Amino acid sequence: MLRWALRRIAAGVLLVWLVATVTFLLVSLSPGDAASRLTDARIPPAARARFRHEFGLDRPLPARYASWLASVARGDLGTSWTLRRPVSEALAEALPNTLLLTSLGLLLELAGGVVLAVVQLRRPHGAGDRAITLATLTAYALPTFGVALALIAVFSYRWHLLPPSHMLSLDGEMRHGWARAVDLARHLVLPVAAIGVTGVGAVARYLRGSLLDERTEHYVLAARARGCSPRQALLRHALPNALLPLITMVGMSLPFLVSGSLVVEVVFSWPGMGQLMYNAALGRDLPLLLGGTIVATVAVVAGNLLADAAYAVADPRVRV
Amino acid sequence: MSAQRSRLVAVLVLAVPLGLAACQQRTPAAPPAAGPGGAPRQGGQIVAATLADVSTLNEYQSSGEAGEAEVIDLLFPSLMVEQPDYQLHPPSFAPRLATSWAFSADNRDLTFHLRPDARWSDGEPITAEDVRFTFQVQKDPRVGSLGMEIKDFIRDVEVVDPHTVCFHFTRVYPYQLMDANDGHIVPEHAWGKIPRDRWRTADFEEVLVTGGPFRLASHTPQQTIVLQRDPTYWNAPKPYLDRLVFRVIPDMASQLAQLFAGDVDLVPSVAPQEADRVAADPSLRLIEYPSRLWGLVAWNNRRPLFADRRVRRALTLGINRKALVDTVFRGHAKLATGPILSSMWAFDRSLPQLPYDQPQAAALLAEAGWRRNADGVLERDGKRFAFDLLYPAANTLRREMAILIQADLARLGIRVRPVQVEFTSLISRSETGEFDAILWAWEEATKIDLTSTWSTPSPTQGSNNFIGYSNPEVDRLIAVAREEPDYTRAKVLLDRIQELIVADQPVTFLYEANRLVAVSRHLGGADINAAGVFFNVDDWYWKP
Repeated sequence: MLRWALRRIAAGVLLVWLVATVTFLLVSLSPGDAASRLTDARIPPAARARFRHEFGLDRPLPARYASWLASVARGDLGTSWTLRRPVSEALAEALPNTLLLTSLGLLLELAGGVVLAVVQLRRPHGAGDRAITLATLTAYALPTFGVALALIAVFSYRWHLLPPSHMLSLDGEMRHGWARAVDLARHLVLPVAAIGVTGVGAVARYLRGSLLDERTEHYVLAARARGCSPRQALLRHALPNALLPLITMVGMSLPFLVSGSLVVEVVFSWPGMGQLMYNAALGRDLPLLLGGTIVATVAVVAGNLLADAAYAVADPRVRV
Repeated sequence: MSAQRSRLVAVLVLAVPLGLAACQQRTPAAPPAAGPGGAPRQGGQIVAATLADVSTLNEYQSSGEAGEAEVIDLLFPSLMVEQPDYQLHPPSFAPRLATSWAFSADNRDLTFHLRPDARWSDGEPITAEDVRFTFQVQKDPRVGSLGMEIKDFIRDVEVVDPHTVCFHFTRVYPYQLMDANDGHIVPEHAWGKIPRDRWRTADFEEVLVTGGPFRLASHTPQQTIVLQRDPTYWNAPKPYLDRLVFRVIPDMASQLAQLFAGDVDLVPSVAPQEADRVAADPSLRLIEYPSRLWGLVAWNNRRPLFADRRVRRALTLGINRKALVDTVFRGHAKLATGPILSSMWAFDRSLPQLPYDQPQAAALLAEAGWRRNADGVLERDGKRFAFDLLYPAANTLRREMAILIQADLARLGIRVRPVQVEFTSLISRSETGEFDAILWAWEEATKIDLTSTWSTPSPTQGSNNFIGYSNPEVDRLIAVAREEPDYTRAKVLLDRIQELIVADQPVTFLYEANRLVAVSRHLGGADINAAGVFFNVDDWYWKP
């Protein structure tokens, strides 16, 4: 087990290095750099050249790569060129906001998906099953931004129930403790719902399929033969096995958890990783982009590692 | 710096049109203490939407992101305030930190008298030492302020006494006052302790000392900037407002939706296609004025296709520019004529506007050797007249323009392919010259200096003349005009330059856009004009 873990971690480190290096090359070789955006006509183009020199953009690529790698190896992600502050600080600010939003969204997606699939399986191919299938298929097909805007239009502007954007209201920003938490929770409802509604369809459809398969397996039939009610057979016997593939799904969702949803963040003015990385990409802010990439890759590696470990715990057939 | 800034505006309209059901109901804000009659009241707050957060409040660290200059202007003092009177003459200045100023007899020394009652937010007086410190910062290569070259002709700033400061110039030229005023004064006692080599990356919010009508109350990154009335401000009891709040809303459609819902009181830039909706709302006011943003088709003069000025003139004549501007901007822009905005003093009012005249365009193209082939496409020496017209991605206005231009030129037998390009890549391609034509826009400065855009590009100093336009007579006249201290004499030269450039048509001049600002009826006393949205923020007040 320990050797397995060590091997996986070593492979993970290699992967992070590889992804970061590829990102470095892609951004460095893409047209334009951070100085390109200083297009102020009255700023003499000399200022652009000055900027390139200050941030080392005029040095050859291998030299830039070497000094970047050296500083990352020391644990220093550098200073963002657009934000003029340490990359680690900017990431530390955005990451928790994104995690809060995406983990709740994922939770809603999973919980909602499981409940819907189980309800559907109570009478497969019945009217309820078909209605839910139609609904989940529709939800799966809907674009996130459309859902987000519809939610805002209805719940914020039509009914005035929930705030349309930001993490806190203006008053909430000045409050502390409980009042602040309530304010935050109110602001979370719509963006979480926007993520959950579009994701729930996928989970429900996936799970319904695997539940249908499990239902005809011998062990479920055996359970029925031993006198289990259909409900018991479904929930106690079929469901745990049908849930196994979901572990993979969750593991694969980890990059989303960390890198966030740009669309949801922009529509809801949510200060997370999606917006941060998007702006970094537009501004060719290499240190910030690389910092974000490293964090996201580490999350993917860790997610896969955890998913595999979870498999081993959940499914005795899998030995690591 | 803000007035001198001239910026390529990439994304005029970011947003996907979003059909939000907006409701007119308003949430009540805390009412301020009642003032007498209709007079301005003390108190209240105004919430302004902004597309992006500020990345720094230190102007000399700033990369010039949109919106940053406005917040900095509310927090830091400048010597004078540039007035929005550039239609009549080069902009004049009103007192701010300086109460009066005078040139020496030889015009090489400029003395400012500072108001004695001005204080920083920590109670320290704002003095001539701060002005000199600011100058040193502006000139320091370790700081690397983007506007460093603006101070090129100022040799030194001398402290005469605590409230008198003298700028020594190395030469006499028309924009001495503007260049001396450029940049806000920063606090020596607070920021002088920070080593200059750390200025690029230091966090100045931790040592923030301000000296404007407002001070920073709180800053939640990517969310909110709250400015609070500074009680020590020299212009007391102004500002009337207690708070001015900037809410970061990165999506323009969301900004408008929140304006309609009453959560936001001010949207600084409204897309032309939304103007009617704002104007129709009785709880809102739409303010419109000519901005200094203008658009053009940049033809790559270095490429054989566009090297002939007859061809470039034909392209302009062949595009129905008036219809294009009216359609795309819905009446919120006017047709551009030449390299100087029609709203500026130096604009040559006798300049001829090239008409929409396809027969004449066809004749000019024929003269240049272009003949229609069997497919109806123009051809010369076996090469078809076809090119890519680039425009920044996600800019819906420019996309509309590109399609209209494509249709107009198709009638002349020219094949245009509109291609959207990511913004930074687009700029990079303009720098490297890898383009045929770009739908471009410049935000013009109030300082008229045609050197960087229209003079033959200099390999040593760099240039914004990315189209490679070159006319030796224009070069000569620009060099003379920029040295001419008397603006009526400069005007004669500038008129001639405009004639020559319009005759050459190195670009097709398209539009001069209006700025559309939406404010709630709660905002009283606001004079929003070309000098800036927050031009007279001292006089703003909250109306119930």
